[in-house]
Amino acid sequence: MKRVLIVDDASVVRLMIKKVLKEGDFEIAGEAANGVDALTKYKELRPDVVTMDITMPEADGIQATKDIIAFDEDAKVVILSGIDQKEMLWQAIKAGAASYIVKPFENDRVLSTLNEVTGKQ
Amino acid sequence: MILNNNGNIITVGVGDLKIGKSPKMIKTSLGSCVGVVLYDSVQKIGGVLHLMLPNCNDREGKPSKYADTGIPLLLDLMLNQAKSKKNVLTAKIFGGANMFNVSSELFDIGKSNIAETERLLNHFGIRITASRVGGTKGHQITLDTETGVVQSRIFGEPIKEY
Amino acid sequence: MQISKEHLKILDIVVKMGMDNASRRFSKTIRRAALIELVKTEMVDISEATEEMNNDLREMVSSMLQLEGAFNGKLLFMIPLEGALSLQDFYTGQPQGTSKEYDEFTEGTVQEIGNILASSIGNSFALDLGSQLLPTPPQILCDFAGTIFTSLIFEEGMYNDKILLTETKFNIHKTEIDCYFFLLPEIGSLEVTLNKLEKSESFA
Repeated sequence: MKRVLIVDDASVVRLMIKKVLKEGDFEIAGEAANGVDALTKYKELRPDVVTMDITMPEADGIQATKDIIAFDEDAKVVILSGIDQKEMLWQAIKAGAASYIVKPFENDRVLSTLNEVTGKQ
Repeated sequence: MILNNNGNIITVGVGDLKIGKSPKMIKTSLGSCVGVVLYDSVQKIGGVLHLMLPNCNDREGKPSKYADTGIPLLLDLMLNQAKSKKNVLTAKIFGGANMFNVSSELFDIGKSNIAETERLLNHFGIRITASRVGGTKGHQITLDTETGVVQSRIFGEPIKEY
Repeated sequence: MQISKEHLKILDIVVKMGMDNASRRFSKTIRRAALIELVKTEMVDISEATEEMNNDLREMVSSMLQLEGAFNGKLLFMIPLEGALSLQDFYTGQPQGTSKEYDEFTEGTVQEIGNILASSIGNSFALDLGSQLLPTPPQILCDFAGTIFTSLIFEEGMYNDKILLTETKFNIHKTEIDCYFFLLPEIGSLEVTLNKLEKSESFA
């Protein structure tokens, strides 16, 4: 079972993602509420994939993506972005994000993106 | 308190009582509190008491907070101020929900409020013609003093008339 | 129990500064400006205060917490149901209109906003009053405005006809959403803290 690290400052979004992941065949490795914590948790938990919010306090999602990729160049980071955050989303992709999901996210879209990125069928 | 003449709607707060004459509407919102509605169909005068607790137990504070001091007070207003005849007065009671957030010390205070209200109305010989009590949700009631009908709306349920 | 005019003044200032902080944290959380429309701290009669609230017939979602520490009290964040759904979309970064029905996530949002406001007020008071103020986990209530408000004041109102109430009204910028935040201190425990504060030099 692939392990996921959920990064989002909004606890409710983490809850939403957890619910979706439980429907799919994923294990929740852990959660982080800001970019700094995301890197710490990544090092500690070594998840298969990270779902990453963009706007967060203490290092945003773009910085956190850069940091994680700098630590592990094979890291798989999937960006969760608002529809009005295209510029930031582009920056995150340049920073090395593997894919993205636009909010409001549909459950199937989340699962298929994570499957795709982790190489699951 | 008492006869409120601002507009046609009279609102009763917690631990208070008010009376009004047609065409007034008297309304209140209840949780674990009980709303006692007295109505005089001859003069088209109604009174609403919003009580919080069953017994005063010599506590300080306004008598209209408690059933055992508030109900006699409401009766007194109806009989002596509004000059209603006791034999035409009818009572309807609402509220007394078991609100889950009220501290454990107050466990199901709604139930005790209902029991004490019923006991006192019986004691004073006032007929209870309708009641909608209990549950776990809030309750909005509005008395139409023209007809004596009480519109009762419990959170999440359709409006009913009593 | 009464509170002195001087103490009411001190409290008013402390509350205003606290609410200012809280509104900034609130805005940051929902990524929209939460503007303070009103902050009012006064002694109110329980019947009059609830009478006002009983005139608001809307269905509300609310988060209620207890504060413990420098003084004890209760906090209540309350928002109309439709407002809560909008707030949920703001908070989760989804387009407006995505959340259509009240569910566990709406509840989570209101709970989170309650926590944020409470901890922000707690921190601000701790700085001003010089001692800790910790919120307990919130309880979520979905009911009529008047019923929720009565639950807030019930215990304090059992013992006192007049209560000390701080009312804050927020408006979410460029929306019709209004929400309330109430602070209800236990007067007895608050007086002790304010007495200490008055005697200390930090507030001179």
